[in-house]
Parts: sequence; structure tokens; C-alpha cells
Amino acid sequence: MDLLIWLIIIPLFTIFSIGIFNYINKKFVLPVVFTSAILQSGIAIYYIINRNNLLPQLYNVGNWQRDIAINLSIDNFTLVIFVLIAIMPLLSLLYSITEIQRKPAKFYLLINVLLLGASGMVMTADLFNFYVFFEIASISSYALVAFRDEDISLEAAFEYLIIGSIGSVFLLLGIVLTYQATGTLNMAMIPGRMAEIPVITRQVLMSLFIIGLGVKFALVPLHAWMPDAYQGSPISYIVLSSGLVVNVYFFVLVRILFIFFGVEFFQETIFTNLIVGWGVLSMLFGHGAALQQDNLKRLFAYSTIAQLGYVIIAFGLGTEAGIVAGSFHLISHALLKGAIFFTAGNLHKATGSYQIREMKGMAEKMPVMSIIFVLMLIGMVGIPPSNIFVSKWLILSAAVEAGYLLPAFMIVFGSFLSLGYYLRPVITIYTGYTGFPGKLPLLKFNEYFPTLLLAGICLIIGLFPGYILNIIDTAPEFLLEQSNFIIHILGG
Amino acid sequence: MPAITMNPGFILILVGILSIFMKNNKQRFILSMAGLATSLFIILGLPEGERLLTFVFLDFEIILLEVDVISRNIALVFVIFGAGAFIYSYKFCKKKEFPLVNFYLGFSFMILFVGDFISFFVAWEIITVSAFFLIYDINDAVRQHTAQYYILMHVSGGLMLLWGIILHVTESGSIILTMPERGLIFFLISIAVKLAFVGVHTWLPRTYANIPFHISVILSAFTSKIGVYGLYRIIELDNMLIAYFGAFSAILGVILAMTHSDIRKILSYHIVSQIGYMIIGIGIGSELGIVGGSFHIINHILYKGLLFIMAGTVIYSFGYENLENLGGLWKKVPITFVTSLIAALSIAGFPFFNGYLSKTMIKHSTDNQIIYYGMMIAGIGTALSFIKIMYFGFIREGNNPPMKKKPLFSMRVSMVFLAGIMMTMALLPEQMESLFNISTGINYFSAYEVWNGVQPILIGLALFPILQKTIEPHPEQPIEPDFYCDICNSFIEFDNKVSKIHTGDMVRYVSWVLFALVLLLLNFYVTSLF
Repeated sequence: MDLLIWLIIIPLFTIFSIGIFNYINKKFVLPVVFTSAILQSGIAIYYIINRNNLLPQLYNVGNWQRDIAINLSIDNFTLVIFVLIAIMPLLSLLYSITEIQRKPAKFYLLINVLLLGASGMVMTADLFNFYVFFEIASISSYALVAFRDEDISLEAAFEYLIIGSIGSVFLLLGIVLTYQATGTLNMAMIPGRMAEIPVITRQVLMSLFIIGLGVKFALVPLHAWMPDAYQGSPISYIVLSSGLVVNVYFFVLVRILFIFFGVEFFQETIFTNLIVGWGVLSMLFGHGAALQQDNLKRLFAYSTIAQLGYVIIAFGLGTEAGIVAGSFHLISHALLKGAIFFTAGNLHKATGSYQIREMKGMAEKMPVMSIIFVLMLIGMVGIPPSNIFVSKWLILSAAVEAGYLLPAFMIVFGSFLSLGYYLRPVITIYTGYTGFPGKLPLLKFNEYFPTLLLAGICLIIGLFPGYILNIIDTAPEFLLEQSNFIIHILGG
Repeated sequence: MPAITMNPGFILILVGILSIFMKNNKQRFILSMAGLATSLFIILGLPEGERLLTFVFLDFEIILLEVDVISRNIALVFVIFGAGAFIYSYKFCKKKEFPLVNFYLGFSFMILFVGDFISFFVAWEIITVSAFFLIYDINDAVRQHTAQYYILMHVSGGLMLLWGIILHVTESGSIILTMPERGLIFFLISIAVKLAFVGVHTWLPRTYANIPFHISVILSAFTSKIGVYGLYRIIELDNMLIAYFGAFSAILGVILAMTHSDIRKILSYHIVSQIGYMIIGIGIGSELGIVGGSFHIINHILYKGLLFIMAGTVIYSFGYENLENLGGLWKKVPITFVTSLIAALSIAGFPFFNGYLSKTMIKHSTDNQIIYYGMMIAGIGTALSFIKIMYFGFIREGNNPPMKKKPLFSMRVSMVFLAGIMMTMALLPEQMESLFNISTGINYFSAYEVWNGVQPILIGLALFPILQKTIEPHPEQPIEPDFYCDICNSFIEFDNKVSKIHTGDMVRYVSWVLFALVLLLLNFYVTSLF
């Protein structure tokens, strides 16, 4: 069954129906949004469960010839993002029911635009459509950052808009130059022709893609928008962003680099060292800057930057073990960080502020949430039985096997630094209670359920990593072997 | 007897989970004791030398049960001391402490019986985390600082272990707990942190002197011994260098101990010193040495635990622990005095007490003169500092602090229980040897051995009047900043600088983007030149 096109059709229809229902009767908005979210999760889960029969799958929009058609494809590497598509949007929307009180229809509309862009970017197999989906996702992100209409959100959205647009310009330039050099935008046809163009041109193209997409997943030093954007935006958006969208941008960059240029090319041009080194820099910088943040959201934004550094290191190794490890860390970080953001949002309900010092003594107001928060933060450092332990184990052993001893040691060092800054909120929350204005906030079902569910999933993955590893262990086939991908898109 | 093949740690972990739902301390106490009794039953029936309870995790074979003589004997004494500590403290334990202590004990048991690196690491780290929560207190800034220091120190050690394991596993492809093929130094660093080797021992006195006394009883008995057990399991080389380091640690530990006057600080530095003896035994590497070292672990858990119980009782009854404020206690708390005298004589290695047996074994395992005299000096220091505690605390007619509360009946029971077990062990050396499946042929009670054992104590007694002025008690600070705090502060300064460059200035951010692009292109240009 060709269900994959529905991942684009469903959000598209939802966008229009939200507008219509919001005009006719506001009561219908929520059911429509959740039906569509459940359907999208369902499709993703369907593909994950039936991965052995269905994958790789190609959908040819309009049934044109494969070389000029609009191709949507799913292969085993796409499943990495599908795991997130199955979990994150639904929970994030569930959480937003209470969080977004003002103009909820607008929020759901923008979220669906974002999901449309994200799913499209993951599945598309030609650069033109990729750019379209990229812009769809980017522009809805700018609007979502500005959603709260506060000074800080507007400033952050403006900042994000400017930096993001510069990134888009470079990406567009890269796409245009690729078309100029190879004469095609079909992602399966580019690799063959790419091999014929001069090395220096290929390197320029590579730089443009890295900068264009690096802005979006906050590669240091292109990360500057992220802490500000997170500080000003609602938790539901942050979870979706750090749990799905950022990972999608990273995923696309990995696919472009591996498919277009090939692993051999990286090794010839010492590109692997550069990427691994850049990952280490990103990680240390993120951990370093997080240590002195006063705001929980900013702290976790820097932590996200640092955690993506681990993923960059793992993928940068260019080995099979590295790709599996990186994918695993991508997933486990997204899930755990989502749970942490939800918990931070729940704690915020009592304090009304994300400033760490104002969370003093929260533990006596919300004991269960506080202890979950602490356990998750300690788990984030990589202390077993959290899933981050498994992913760090995988990354470390992949890096050591590939001979990158120093970067691997830096991962260990970075974990130590991260413990340093996670302890600050922990100690503030668990400090003597000094009297707290207002009454105890009651958490609703849709606020604690996503938190507990994500935390539970993280624990299960930590104890039984096989569930996720089974899904992603064939992912490297479609990255390391360009021919697999080309045959899949163009046919034998 | 039907044997249950089960890692006894799991029983206590289960008990820890169950004790969350219990209503009062009495129920939790009975549950914990039942858990310990069940584990005792399981430990006695465990088969030796087989690898059991295996399953596959990430392509590796996890071995959750692998028993040898030494781990079984250490586990037995863990059970005994755990029972003693529970009896001692159940009346005033807080609600959260029961589950945490049970987790802590459970993972300490688990680590004794696991046979692979992954579960070893897991237990190693969870011991740290549960100890962190035991040390942490919501209303006490000093304990918060201490807990932070503790977890940073131990997690950095734990990460070193992880790094070492990664190096070893990628080299050898197997996770069976053996001598590492690569990255030995990282294992050593990690173990050194756990067993409080001199230089990285700073967490130990800082922690044990600042937490409530009943928690320091629990922590002091287990944490560093897990480190020694790790040394025994992982480092299988008969390296005299390690033995010399042990002797160094033993001597430096007693010197540091003598300069302090809080009872628990003295005891803490003595842990550092006694750990030195165990390192000597394991470093020598002969069968006698290893048995001596691990026998010393067992003795040490008992007498040091008893001494910490004594310190706790003194704090409970009098409210002070600085020797300056104490004096003449022997009349007021006679049972505490007698039992702690037994413990003090044991730790000093006085003949007919249990520390003497293991020290003699270690002495017999080598004829190296440096080790011999090192142990001699450390023995003199030990004797001196326990004469100091006994004299200034119990015998001297100085300040006679009023007794606030009489020691509880349960406290006295636990002290007598532990002292009784120690004396039984001390007077039955042959049975102890058979417990370790070894026959040394040492005649412990011959005049020659006794004279050898008494020597350091006599020298200590002779030196005490001379040194009395130098080691006289003085007031102490709870937290002294040290080298590691300076390192942390320099990190924080660096991080301040990093976060200050994020000014919110758009031009700056955009220029970073362009700068990155230029650097990337330049990098490609430069590499293409070669």
C-alpha cells in the first residue's frame, strides 16, 4: 500500500480544515487535529512494523518517468526519523492543549505546516521539492517562535528569521550550483554526474550544503538563534523542534553528503577528520555555554546543541557502527530531551518562570515531577540504565574502533561537564522551601501523561535497546552504498 | 538444602522498591532484615566458579552470577554488617533513606557477583547515584555541596572506567571481567577514586564527616571496599609497584588522620590508610597476599563500621564529635567504650583481635623490607591516632560534656552484636582460613608473632606522651576548599567567557555564519594544495 503520500496529504488537509472549522465551529478543531496526528503516527508505525516487507518503497507522484518525476521514497535510513514522527508530534500536540490557551487554532495550523515540511523533507528524492519543503518548515518555525507575542519571542523570531534566511540562501545557492554542474535535481542521478565534476567544485558545494543546513540544526558557530528561540517559544513547539525538526535537518544533510559525495570522497579529502573535529567543538562549546545559563530553556537549548555534537561525531566517522550509533543517539536524545522539556514545563506551572533560581524549593510542591526531572537529568549524563548510556556506549565504541581516540575521550569529558551543569537545577529545586505564593497547581492528564510516557519509553529503550537497534540496524546500507539508493529510486 | 541461583543483590533491590510502600519504620526494618536473611540464605547456597544467569545485551553476553571464594566471603560480611547497621539506625532513619540504603546495598551485592564489564559498570554507577541521594539533604547547604563534590568525583571516576572498558572491549571483543588488555591506567584511576587512594581521597573525609552519623556508618563500610574488590577483580598482576603505592597510601593516611580532631574525620583518613593495607595485599599478588588483603577488607568493614557506630553514638548522646569537646565518656557510655576499645585494638592490629590476623597474613606474604617497614610505620600511626581518640574522648578527665540522650537499646545491641562477631572471628583463625580455602601454616598465637604484632602499639604508646602536644585536638571547619574546587572554578570562569560572547547582537551572529563558511572553504582550499 502506498501510504507514504498520505503523510503529506493528511497535514495539508488538516491545515485547510482547521481554517474552515475554526470559522464554523471551534469545537471541531481539536478532534480534527488529533485525528490527523493519530493517523500520521499510525502511518509511521505501520511502516516501522512492516519494514521487512515494504521497504524500500518509492511513490511516484503523477506516474511520470522516474528520472524526471516527483519521487517520494522511504528506505531503512528514513525509519530513524519515522520513529520520531510516530511519537513526538502526537505527544507535543497533547501537551499543547493546556499550554496554548490563546489562538489554539493558529498554533495547530502552524504545527501542521511544520509537520508537512518535516515529512516532506525526509521523504523527498529530488532537490527542488526538498527546497520547497525546507522553506515550508522554516517559515512555520519562524512563526511558531514568535507565537507567544512577547518581546523576547519576537526578538528571537526576528533573529531566527535573519540567520535562517541566510542559511536558506546558501542552501539555495548550493542547489542551483548543483543543477548548474550536473544538470539534474534528481537525488539519485546527481551522484553519478557529481563524480565527473572537479574536486574543488564538489568541495564548494559541500560547504554550501553544510552551512545552509547547519544553521538549522544549530551547528556551532551557527547556533546563535537556538537558545533565544527556545527561551521565547512554547514548550510544545520546543519539544517538536528539538525532538523532530532539528533532527530532520540533520538527517537531510547526512543523506545529501553521503549520497552525493560518497564516503570515499570524505576519506580522500580528510573530510571525516573535519566533521569529527567539528562535532567535538560543537559538543564542548554547547556544554561549556550551558554551565552558566540562568534559564532552564536556554540551558537545555545549549544541551541540545551539545548532544547533536555527539551525533555529528558518530556520523562523521563514516563507518557502519558510527551510523547506527549516531541514529540511536538521535532517537534517544530526542525522546529524553522531550521528556525533560515536558517536565520543565510542568514545573513551570508552579513557578511561572523558567529562571532556575525561582525554582527554589519546588521539590516540596511537586515531588513526583521533581524526582523524575532529577532522574532524567542524571540519565542524560549517560548513567545506566538510561538510554543515553547505550547510545554513548555505541558512539564510543564506534569511535574507538575507527581509531578516533581523542574525540572519543572528549565525549567522556563532555559527559562530565554536562553533569556539572545538570546539577545546578537539581540542587536549586531540592533546596529548602522558603514559602511559595499561590496554591498547588494541579497537573492535568495531558500534562503528566506525555512526560511519563516518554520517560517510560526512554527507560525501556535503555533496558532493551534491541527494540530500536532492530529498526535502525539496516540504515547504513542506504548511506554507505550509493548504488543501493540509486537503484531504489531509478530502478534497476 | 535447595539452592536458589540468583544474584542476592536483586533481593535487596526488590526490598528497596517494596519499602517505598511501607507505612512505618518498623515495617521497613523488618522487611529489610528479611531481605538480608534471604540474601544470606542465597549466598550460602551459591555454586562457585560457574557463569550463570547470562543473557545477551548489545551482542555481548551479560553474566549476572559468578561466584568465587572471596566475593562470597565479602558478601557474607556485607550481610552481617548490613544487619548491624539496620539494627543500629532503624529508629531514626528517614523515610527516603530505607529504599535508598537498600538500593545501595543491593547494587553493592550485585557488583560482587557479576562477571562482565557492562553490569559491573552499571552497578558501579548506580552505587554512586544512590549514595548521592543519601548524602544530599534538602535543608543543609553543606550536605548539598558535599553531595555535589561526591557525585562529580565519582562520576568522573566512573566515566574513566567506561572509557577503559570501551578501550578494552574494542581491543578484545569480549566483556568478560578480566585483566584489561588496553587502557589499564583508566581502570586504575577509576578504582583509585572509588577506594579513595591518596590524592583522590578528598571526597571521603569531606563526605563522611558532614552527613548524619547513621548514613556515614552505611557508606563508610561499603563504598571504598567495592573499590578494593574492583582492584582484586580487574587488576590481576603481581606488581610490587602497586604494593608500594599501597604502603604510601597507608602511611600518608595515618599522618593525615593524626592532624585532625573530629572523630569521623580521623576515622575517614584511617579508611584511606587501611585501604593501603588491602592494596598491599592485592598488589603482592601471591595467593596469601590476596587472601590477606580480602580478609582485611572483611575485618575492616566490621571494625571500621563499629568505630563509625561509636562515633554516631557519641554524637547522638553528647552532640559533639570534636575531641576537643569530649572527655571522660567511659563512665557514661560503658558499652560504647568497651566495644570501641575492641574495634580500636583490632584496627591497630593488637594480637587476639581480628585486624591482627589479616595484617599478619599480609606481612607473611612478602619478604620485601620496604613493605614491611611501611606497614610498621603505618601501624605506629594507627596506634597513635586510636590512642588519641580513646584518650581524649573517653579517658581524659577534661571537659565532661553532659549526656543529652542515653544511647538507644537498638544501638547497644548492634554494637555488642558486631563486637561479638569480631571476637569470634579473631579467636578462630583456622576456621577463617578454611573459609578462604587456604592453609597458611602461620601460628598466629606464637610468641614471635604476638611480639611482632604488639611492637607498633608499644612504640605508639611510647611516642604518645611526646607527641601529645602536637596532635592535641583543635576546632575544625566542615568544608575545606581544595585543588579540585579550584579546577571547577576555572571551568566556571571559562564558561562565563563562552556565554558572554552571546550578546544578542545580530550582526555578530550573522558574521559567525559567514565566518564559518569562509573557514570551511579556506580549509578545503588549503587541503587541496597538498
